[in-house]
Amino acid sequence: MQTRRRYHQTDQQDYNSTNYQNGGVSDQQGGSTGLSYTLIQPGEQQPQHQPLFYSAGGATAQDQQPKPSPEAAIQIGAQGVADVDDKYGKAARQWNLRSFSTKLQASSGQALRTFIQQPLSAAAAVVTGNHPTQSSDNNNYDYYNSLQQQQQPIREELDLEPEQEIFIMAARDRTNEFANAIRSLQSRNITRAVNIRDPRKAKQVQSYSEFMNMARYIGKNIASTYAKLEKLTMLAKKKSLFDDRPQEIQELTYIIKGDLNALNQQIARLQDISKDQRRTASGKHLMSHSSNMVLALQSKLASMSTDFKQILEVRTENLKQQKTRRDQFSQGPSPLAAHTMSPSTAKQGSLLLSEANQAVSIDMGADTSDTTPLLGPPARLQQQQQMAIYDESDNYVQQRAETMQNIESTIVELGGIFQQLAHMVKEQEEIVERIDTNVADAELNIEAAHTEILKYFQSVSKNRWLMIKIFGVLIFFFLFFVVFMS
Amino acid sequence: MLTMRERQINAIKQMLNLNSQQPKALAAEPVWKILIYDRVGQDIISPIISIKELRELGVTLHVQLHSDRDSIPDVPAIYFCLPTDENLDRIQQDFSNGLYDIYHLNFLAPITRSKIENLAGAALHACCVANIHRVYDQYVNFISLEDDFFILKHQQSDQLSYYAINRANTRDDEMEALMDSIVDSLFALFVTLGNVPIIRCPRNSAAEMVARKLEKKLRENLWDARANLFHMDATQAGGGVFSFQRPVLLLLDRNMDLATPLHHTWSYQALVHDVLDLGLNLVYVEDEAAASTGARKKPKACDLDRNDRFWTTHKGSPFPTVAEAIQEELESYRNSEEEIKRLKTSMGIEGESDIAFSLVNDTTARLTNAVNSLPQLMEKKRLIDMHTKIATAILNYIKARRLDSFFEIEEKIMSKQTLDHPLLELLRDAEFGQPEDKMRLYIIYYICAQQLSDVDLERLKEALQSAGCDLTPLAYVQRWKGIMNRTPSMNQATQYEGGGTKTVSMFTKLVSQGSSFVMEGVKNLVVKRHNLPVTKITEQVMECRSNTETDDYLYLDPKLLKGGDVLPKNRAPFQDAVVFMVGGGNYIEYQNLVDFIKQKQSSNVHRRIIYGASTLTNSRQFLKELSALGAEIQAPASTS
Repeated sequence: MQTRRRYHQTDQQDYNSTNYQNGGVSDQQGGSTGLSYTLIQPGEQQPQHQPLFYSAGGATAQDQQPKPSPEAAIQIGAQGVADVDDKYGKAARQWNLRSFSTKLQASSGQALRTFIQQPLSAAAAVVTGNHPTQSSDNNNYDYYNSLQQQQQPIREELDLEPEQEIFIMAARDRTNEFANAIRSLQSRNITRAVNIRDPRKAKQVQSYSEFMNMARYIGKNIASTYAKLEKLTMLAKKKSLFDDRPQEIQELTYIIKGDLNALNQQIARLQDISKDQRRTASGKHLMSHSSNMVLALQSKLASMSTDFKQILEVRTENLKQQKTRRDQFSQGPSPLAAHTMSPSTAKQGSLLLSEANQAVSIDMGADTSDTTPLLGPPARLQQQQQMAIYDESDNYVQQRAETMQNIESTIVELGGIFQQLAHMVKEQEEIVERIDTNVADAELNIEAAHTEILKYFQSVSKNRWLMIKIFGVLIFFFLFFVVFMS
Repeated sequence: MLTMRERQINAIKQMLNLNSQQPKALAAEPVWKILIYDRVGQDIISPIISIKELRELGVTLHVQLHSDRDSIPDVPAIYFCLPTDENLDRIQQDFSNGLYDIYHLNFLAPITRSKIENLAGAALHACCVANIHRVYDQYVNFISLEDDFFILKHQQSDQLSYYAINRANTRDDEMEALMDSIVDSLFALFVTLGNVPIIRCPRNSAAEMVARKLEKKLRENLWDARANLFHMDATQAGGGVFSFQRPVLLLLDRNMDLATPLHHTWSYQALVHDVLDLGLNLVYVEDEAAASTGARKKPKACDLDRNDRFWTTHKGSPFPTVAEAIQEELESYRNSEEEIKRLKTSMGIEGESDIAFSLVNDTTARLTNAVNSLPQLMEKKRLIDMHTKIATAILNYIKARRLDSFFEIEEKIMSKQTLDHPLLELLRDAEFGQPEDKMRLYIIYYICAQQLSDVDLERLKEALQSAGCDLTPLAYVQRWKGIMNRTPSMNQATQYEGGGTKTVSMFTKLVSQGSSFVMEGVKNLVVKRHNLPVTKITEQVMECRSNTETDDYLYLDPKLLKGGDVLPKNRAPFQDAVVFMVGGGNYIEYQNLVDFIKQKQSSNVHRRIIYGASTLTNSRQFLKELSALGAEIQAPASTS
């Protein structure tokens, strides 16, 4: 119950949804059937509720207090609201989900932990899969930010004693900011006033400022994506088997992928703008400035996507290693093992089963026992359990395969982006020169020009002599004619 | 511990970051800016920061101050120049034209109050006061070519040259200005190093003037509570041992040793400088292919920077070793190329067969490795090509001018060994080198020989004249020798002892492999290690050993309140030294100092020497300066 209390303090909404499930369980069939129900039907309509359902059931079984909730009706409504609510809610729920599972891990034994974790992660994967990530827009950033903000307080509250944090907004001096704003506006106005003398130039300046804004925006986005990438790196480099957070990683991967795509498009648009600028023929320096900016952004994006790719590769490698390790120690759910049920798993399963059996039987004892099942409860449960294990392992494998596919496709997409960038960046790569090489070149050119001019001068001076001679002859003839004809 | 160059780079990077602390790389939001520099600023930046690094710092455009510049709104413009009137006029012009929206002014030397007022007036007039965000004095006015080698000027370096200092008819104010500019740069160096030195220098020379002025400047700054640039060093992190150990600044005058700058050399870097005109770590090598096809010769620029591993390891080694090393590098490069080719073919085979499917994972990893190593390999190839080109060019010169023989003979003369052939014969040999080389050889002989009969000298002179040498430098050198002989401390004759070479047979890998460097006919000389005069003096000063030569050197400590001209009796040896040559340095002395300090290095004592010079001259330039001085002596003599 302690778990649930804390949970309550973390997020009202989620508490509601869990409680709803819990209440539903106890209302309909009681704890035991609730448990089996979940295990049999993994492909539900709203699979993200499944682990909650399950864990709630488990908690109930342990506590032996299947508390019928009086708030059920109201909470259904709340649930509806939560569904309508945007991704924010989902994300928050997801975080809670994870924390919930960790709480469970702390309370129950090792076997139970692994048992629970798998369906949990499976469900989480589905959540992330369902999650809309067509992210050409800013949504992602906001979303992610909210997610991050959310994450911190929840964790704190879970780990420490529940304590209501009160944020007091103390007075803050913003005068400087204001003064700065005025200053920059002032200076800008003055220069604009100087610049906007002819309308054509004004237009140019406008298009330029548009370009600058966009570039700034992209720069900001790149910076924030980098921050995310760093987080992903941290997550992906963790090698621990039990502290694996596939859902987080997947989420981040999706977001970053979307970001990269969006950034790529934005840079392309920026390039178009700069090309437009070039057509309107502004100053040479302005042009090279903007093209350099585009290049710099591109190279940043390229280096970022390389990093991303590397991280994904690391992650894939880690997944592989984890799988082998899991196979080694638990010989758990690999496709073969699922069919042939290696002895240790069977034993583990049975161990679990007996534990669950006890709990369930007590549960049933506490409940009304007027419904007599066709099979004896232990036998039926055994069957169900087996099916459940089969299903669950199958599910697990599928989910793993999906993850791998995701990563693979991401890498392929990144490859595409790369190729796009490659030739553009190559131009920049070549610039390993120094600032004085141009000057040296210019000097050489000037020298060459000087010699050419000298050559021309010589030829001209030669011609000049010729011209003078011809002119002299002409004048001579002219005089001759004037003298003799007249 | 940061080296001098790293400190300078950090200072400049901070400036480029609009004088705020550098944020962590990559994650930060980029700020675009324009860099505007004058010639001095360009010389400072170009050897240490490449364009690519500038781009990474957000500099999209770099332009000369005195060129036509277009208006670029919304972007901060960083000015990096000396506060000369010409530059300030141009900046004021920019203000009135409203070229940029944000100005950051960084001056290389402290700008005077009146100039600031002028600038402020212009800004007011142009209504762009709000646009000027920062005005800074940067103390980075020196050019660091290596981690421990700096010069003061590159372009217009004749202002500080040996000729300018030793000219007979220099006016006092010109001399003052020259000394001031040297002192300013040295002061900037010590601000960058964050340390106040103890100054030693010989008496009665140009160096003494510099020393006195520098001491005054340092003292004034130290006792100025408001603008003390050194008070940081005690608390500054990363100062480490360097901040507790004060360095010694040894100011030397070129006049103490004229032979070394004329000496032919045998180490890679010095040869590049002597033969190929190395300037600011940039050397232009003419492309032979282009020359043969008759196209306009476009010299190829080769940047010998600090990221070039081959260069950093081999710049001090003798030339034959360098040739060998290039050969080895080439071999290793070819090997790795072969490996990649093999991988490519093996991939082709494995891809087709089905059995190899399980191996694909392994090969992908290998392929990724190969692809990742490709850029490095390309870079390596570029470097090898570059060095091959440079080495070939040098080799051609060595063969054409018999530089190896010159080097050998000069070493023998300096170490007082008997020559195989009399000098007269060599000088008469028309095949033997260029007139310039002969002149250098003769001057060195003249300086080093102790007793010379006038008849011999006359005969040698005749030989030189018939070889087409310009004899004007001799007049100056004669006078110089006369003066030096009168001062007992400068006994030239004994200074160069301990040198010498020995020839090693050329049966090395090089010849047997039939490499691109056919070193036939070029002697494989192995240089015996010996210390040049500069190095000897440095050693004595650093060890604080009592010596007749260095005892009467001036001792100045700017930190002491009253002039501490007295040498303290017990002084611990200095760990760090800055050797500064007034009137032109060269790579030979630099290399010699580097070798010296390497040898002195032990596990618990970390010693450093920074070598600096007012200008960097190669022997041809130095000879030209000498002949200009000689002409000055002869001119009044002939008129009177």
